Amino acid sequence: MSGPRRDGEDAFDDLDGLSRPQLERWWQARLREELQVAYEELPFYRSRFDAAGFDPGAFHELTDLALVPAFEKGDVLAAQRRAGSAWVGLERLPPDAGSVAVTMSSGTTGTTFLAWPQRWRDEQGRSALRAHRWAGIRPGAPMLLVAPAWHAYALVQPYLSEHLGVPCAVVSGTFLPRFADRLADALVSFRPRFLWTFLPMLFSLLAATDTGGREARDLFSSVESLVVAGAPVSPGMISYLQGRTGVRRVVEFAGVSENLLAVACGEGEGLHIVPDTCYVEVLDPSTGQPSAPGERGTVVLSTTVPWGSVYLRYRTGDLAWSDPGCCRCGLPSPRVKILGRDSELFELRGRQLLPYDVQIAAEAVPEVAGVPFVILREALREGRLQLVLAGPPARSTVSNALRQALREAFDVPVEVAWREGLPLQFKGVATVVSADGAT
Amino acid sequence: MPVGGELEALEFYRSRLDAEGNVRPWDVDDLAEFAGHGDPFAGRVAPGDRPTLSFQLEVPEEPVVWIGAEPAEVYAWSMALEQSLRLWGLGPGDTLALFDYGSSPLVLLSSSAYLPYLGQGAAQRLGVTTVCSDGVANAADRMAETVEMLDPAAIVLRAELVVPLAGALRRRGVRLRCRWVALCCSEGAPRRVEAHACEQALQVPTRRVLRADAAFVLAPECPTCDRFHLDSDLYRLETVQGAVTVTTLFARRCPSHRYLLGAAGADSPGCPAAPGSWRVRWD
Repeated sequence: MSGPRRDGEDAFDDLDGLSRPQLERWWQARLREELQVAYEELPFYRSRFDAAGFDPGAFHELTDLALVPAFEKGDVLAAQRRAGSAWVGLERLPPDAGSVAVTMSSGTTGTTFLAWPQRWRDEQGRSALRAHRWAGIRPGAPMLLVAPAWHAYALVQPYLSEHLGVPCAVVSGTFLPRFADRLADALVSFRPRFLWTFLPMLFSLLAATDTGGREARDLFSSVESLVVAGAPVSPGMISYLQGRTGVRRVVEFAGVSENLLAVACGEGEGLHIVPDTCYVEVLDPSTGQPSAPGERGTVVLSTTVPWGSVYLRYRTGDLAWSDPGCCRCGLPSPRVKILGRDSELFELRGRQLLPYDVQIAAEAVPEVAGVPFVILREALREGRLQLVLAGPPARSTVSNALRQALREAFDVPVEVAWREGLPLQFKGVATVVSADGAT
Repeated sequence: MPVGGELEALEFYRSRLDAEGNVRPWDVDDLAEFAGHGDPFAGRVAPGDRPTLSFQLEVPEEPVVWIGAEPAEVYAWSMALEQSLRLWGLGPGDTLALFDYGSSPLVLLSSSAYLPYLGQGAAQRLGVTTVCSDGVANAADRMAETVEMLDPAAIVLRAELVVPLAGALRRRGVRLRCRWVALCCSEGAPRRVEAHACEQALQVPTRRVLRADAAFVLAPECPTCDRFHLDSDLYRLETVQGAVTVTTLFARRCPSHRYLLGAAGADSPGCPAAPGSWRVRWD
């Protein structure tokens, strides 16, 4: 799979052609200005900066970000409760903003609200266009509008369509797996060359082809670039999706509602940060210092679009590793790989693990790559790893190999079961559930 | 507006034209019959034509039917929504919560944030802020959070969400303070009894929306006359053999002539709130 080249057809503009030091200087300038604006115009930041003794004028280098107080979703939720309002003083709206579109964060730990004026939609739209260009989008073929309107991604789709000048097809319903048939119909009727989808929806789409007696490869035959988002995607999963759909270019997107965007190039490991959307730090949670390259840490996001809901040094609750090294594809932006949420961490014999760790270990058995599974919580409490995989009982050699691979990876007793009809919401996203949740 | 020969060029209408060139009234089931033959636009768009914007209808389930339009036509459709919001008294600085599918015309036509090529959506033109939730029952708690934190001036609500939303509001201890709820469903209008039940459950004045997406129809229930208004610049109403039909004047790429609205009846124009509008009853 070929990735974006900064001097090739995927290059978007001069920003893609900067050297790393030039890009860092670009980020420094952007963040310096943004911190100043945040202090002068946004009460949420003014009070936090004052309390921490941070003077925006003291920001010179990217490493100075460590001086800026970080915050997390709980802080925004608390501010909402205090204010009795969604608007907590981190929203920057032009005086003539008029109508604003409001989206929501994912609601797993409470909902925060994000205000997006037209000014943000223009700047973020351009940045998203860069990301989509890296991922292979081109003018010429129809675009399917698929994201739910509560999600910020829905707001960049109109910009993408208009700037590519492509016809659009609006898929009915909402972006839940039960509407997969509708998306399948849109694929057949409009033959898009580019498709963006959430991983669970993609698995629902594949399930719909299975039950409808249709070949998945026929359904995706027009698609040249398939973007998957919404969960960390493993290399085995990429291969599995390439095999099932016949699409050669399967691209991982990582996004966070508060404005994180990163895109895999397919050449180096990890996903390139989209620089005019955000700057990303990966920090060691125990020291607050940057994690060593490749070491796991917490994600701290600073948006580089200074309009709408401005999130500066926001702990997203994601765990990731970063790679500041140069990538073979030539893009100057460093790479990150989001591995899961800190709320998904579980303990197994003293080790803190994510479901993604189990997924990677399981992929040592090629037949298991791409097979959805859940991890049972009850067994973890007893120091065992018990997996339920979707599908008819596999050959005993596969189950044995999987047990062996997981035992070697985690040094714990392992049990493996197969079950047809695993609930759809788990498909493609490994999760820890209680035993009765897996039925 | 395509007439006579232009309609004859479209397969769907060819079989529905009588000797005088009048279109035999039709509804979504007639479209589904055509769509079943492999044409997603059910013979209403010239063969090989690809409209700039295509919309998959929520109904019927199978076969799926699409409609298509050009930006100017979609803008005209959004005028119907703008008139609805205006009639119900929404204005600059208000927030409108849309508890409906993201693919609903009530969402799409409200803002260019959701739909490309729209220019300015109905809510944008009125200076109204929009927020959309998923429009499914298991998102009711999020809707209640939205109500609590955004304090919307008005809510567009799918009829099947009244009970889940009322329950979620009760659980959070949130009282609705909005000026009105507009109750909608995917085809036609909710029944009057459903609107009454909504008023009881949410303790908020409730108005209904009449939707016929296949014909680009969107009409508000008028608080003054209790009828649904259809702007005479956008739609033409006829009673054909006792049935109320609507022709959409702006629909050119995917013409919509004599769509059977399913309304209980038509009244002559004359409501003081919109003297020029057609009026239909829906009980």
